[in-house]
Amino acid sequence: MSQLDYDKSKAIYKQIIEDFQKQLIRGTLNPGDKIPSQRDYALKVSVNPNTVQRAYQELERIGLTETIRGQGTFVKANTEMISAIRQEMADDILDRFFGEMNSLGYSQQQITEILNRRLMEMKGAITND
Amino acid sequence: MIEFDHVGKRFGNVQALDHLNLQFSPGKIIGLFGPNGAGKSTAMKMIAGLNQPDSGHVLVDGQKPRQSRDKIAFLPEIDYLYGWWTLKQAADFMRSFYADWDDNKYTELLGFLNLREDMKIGKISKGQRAKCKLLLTVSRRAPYLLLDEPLSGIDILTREEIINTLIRDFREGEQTIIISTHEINDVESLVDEVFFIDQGRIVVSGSAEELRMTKGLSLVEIMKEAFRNVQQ
Amino acid sequence: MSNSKLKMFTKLYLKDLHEVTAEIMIVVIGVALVTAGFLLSSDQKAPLLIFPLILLLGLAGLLPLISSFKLLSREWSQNTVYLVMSLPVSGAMILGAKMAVLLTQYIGGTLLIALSSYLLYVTKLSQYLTTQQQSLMMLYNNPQLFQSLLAFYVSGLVFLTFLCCTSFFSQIAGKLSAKFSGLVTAVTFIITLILSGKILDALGTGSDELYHMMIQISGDAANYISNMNMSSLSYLVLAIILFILAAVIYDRKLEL
Repeated sequence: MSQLDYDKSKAIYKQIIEDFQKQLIRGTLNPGDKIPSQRDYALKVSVNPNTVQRAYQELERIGLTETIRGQGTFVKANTEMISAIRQEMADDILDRFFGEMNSLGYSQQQITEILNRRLMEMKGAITND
Repeated sequence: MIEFDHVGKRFGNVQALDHLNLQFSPGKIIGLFGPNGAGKSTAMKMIAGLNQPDSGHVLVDGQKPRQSRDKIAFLPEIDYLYGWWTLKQAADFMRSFYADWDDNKYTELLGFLNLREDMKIGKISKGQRAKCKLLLTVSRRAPYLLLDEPLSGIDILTREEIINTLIRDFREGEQTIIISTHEINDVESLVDEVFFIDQGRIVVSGSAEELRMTKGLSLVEIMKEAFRNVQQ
Repeated sequence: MSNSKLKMFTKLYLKDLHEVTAEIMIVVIGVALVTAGFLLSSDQKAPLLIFPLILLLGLAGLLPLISSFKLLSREWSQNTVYLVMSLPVSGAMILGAKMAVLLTQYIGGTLLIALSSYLLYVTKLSQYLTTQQQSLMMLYNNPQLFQSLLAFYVSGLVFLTFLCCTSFFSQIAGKLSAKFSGLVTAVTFIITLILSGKILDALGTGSDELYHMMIQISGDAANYISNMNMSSLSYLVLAIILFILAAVIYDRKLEL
C-alpha cells in the first residue's frame, strides 16, 4: 500500500477507506490479495492503531475485505463491486464539480464549453509528447 | 480509567488547575493540548502522584495516584535520569523496581531506536537522551503511559522515530497513552481522544475523528479556534 | 516479595553510594598518604603523623553529615527526584538507603583510620612502651579499655545517625516550601538540634557535664560507659522519630 498523504481536516479513517478503494480501482490491489495487518499498516502510515482498526472494520462491514482467522485480511471485493465503487466515487466528484460550478454561476452550456476546451488541450498535450 | 473531579491547584498567584473535570478512557491514545503554562504538566504530575490537588480529587482505577505508582510509567519533560548512568545501568535500575518491565521489548526497541547500552546518559545528544527516556518508559507494560512533551526540542527524524515507536508498541485495549504537548501538528494522526486545556480548564474535548468530521478542521485549527474564543 | 524489596533497596543503596564517591575517596586517599608517610619516615618523626590521623578521624566523622545534605539536595538540583518519587517504594526505603550509605561512609572511614593507627602503633609506637604497657594496650587483656572504646565508637555512630536524621528531616521539611526551601531547612535544622538537646537535658542523659560529674564522683569507667550508652539510646530514639517524620512527610506531603 502506498504512503497515505492524508488531509488533516478530514476523518482519517475515511481517507484510509478511500485510499483502499482507489487502489482497488487502479488495480494495484486485486481480489484475493492479502492486505497488511492493522499494526503494520498503522506503522506504515503513522496513524493511531485504533483509527486503522476502525477503517478495517468498516472495510469488512461493507464487504470489501474479509479476515480469515490465523491467516490475515484479504480483498474479497469482486469486479462488479469494484466498478460500482468506481462509479460511486466518480459521481461524488462530479456532484461536487457541478455544485461548485453552479455556485459560481456557470450555465450548463458554459460548463460544456469549458470541459470541451480542457479535453482538447489535454489531447494536444498528449500528442505533443 | 483516570478521573479528575473538580480538581483545583494553585501555585502562588497562578491557578494551574481550575475545577478541572475530565475522564481519560482506557485503551486510547489521548492528547492533552494547550499552550505553555496551560496546566498540562501539573495535570500529568498529579496523575503520577508527584503533585496533589488543593481541592477535588484524582483517581487512577478508583485509587489515589500515590497508591497506583506501579501502574503508571511517567516520562517527565525534564531530564530525570542520573547523568553518570549508562543506558544499561538505567535499564537495570528500572528492571528491579517494576514487575511489568519487559526485557524482550527493551531489546527490540533498543535496536529499533538505534541506541547502544554503553551510552552514557549525561554525554549523549538531546535527541538520543529523549529516545533513552522513551525506551525506559515504554519497556514497561504499564497500563498507563504518561508522556509529558516527549517531542519538544527534538529534531524531526527523531520525532518520527518516537511516534513510530509508540504506534508500533501500542497494545489496543490494554494500554492508555496520555501525551501532553503544545506541538499538535506532530501528533495529529496519533491521538484518538483530545483535550484542549487553557488556564487550567478544558476548552474543547472529544474524539479526534469526530471533531475533524463535525468541524471540518484539523486539530491544529481547532486549537487555534478554541483559544481565539477563550481570549475574546 | 521480600526478595524484590531487598533488590530495590540494594539498587537505591548502590546508586546513592556512587553519589558520595568523592567524599569516600577523600578519606581513603588521606589515610593512604598518612600511612605511606609513617611507613617511609624515620622512627623519630613517624609518631608525629598521629596528628593528621586524628584530623582525618574528625573528617571521616564529619563528611557523612555533609554527604547527607548533598545526597538529598542533588536529587532536586539534578531533577532525578522525578525518578525517585515515581518509584513504587515508600519514603522510608528511599531515605533508608541513603542512611545506609552514610553509615557505610562513616564506618568504612573510621575503620580504615583505626587500621592505619594500629599499623602505626605496631611499626613505630610500640617500641617506646614497656612490655607491661604494651600488654595493657592489647584489648583482650584490658576489657575496660575495650568497652570504653566500643561505647565511644557506638555513641559516635549514633550521634552521626541522629545528625543525619535531623538533616533529612529538615531538608524534607524545607522542600515543603517552594520559595524559601533553604531557609526553612536551616531554621528547622537548628531548632531541631536545640529542641533535641533540651529534651535530652530534661531526661537527664544528654549533657556533657553529667558525664564528667559522674566520672569525678565515682571514678568508675563502668558508670561512664553506662551513661554513654543511655545517652546513645536517647539519641537513637530521637533519630528514629525524626526519620519516621521525614519519611511520613515524604510519603504524604512532598510535591514537585
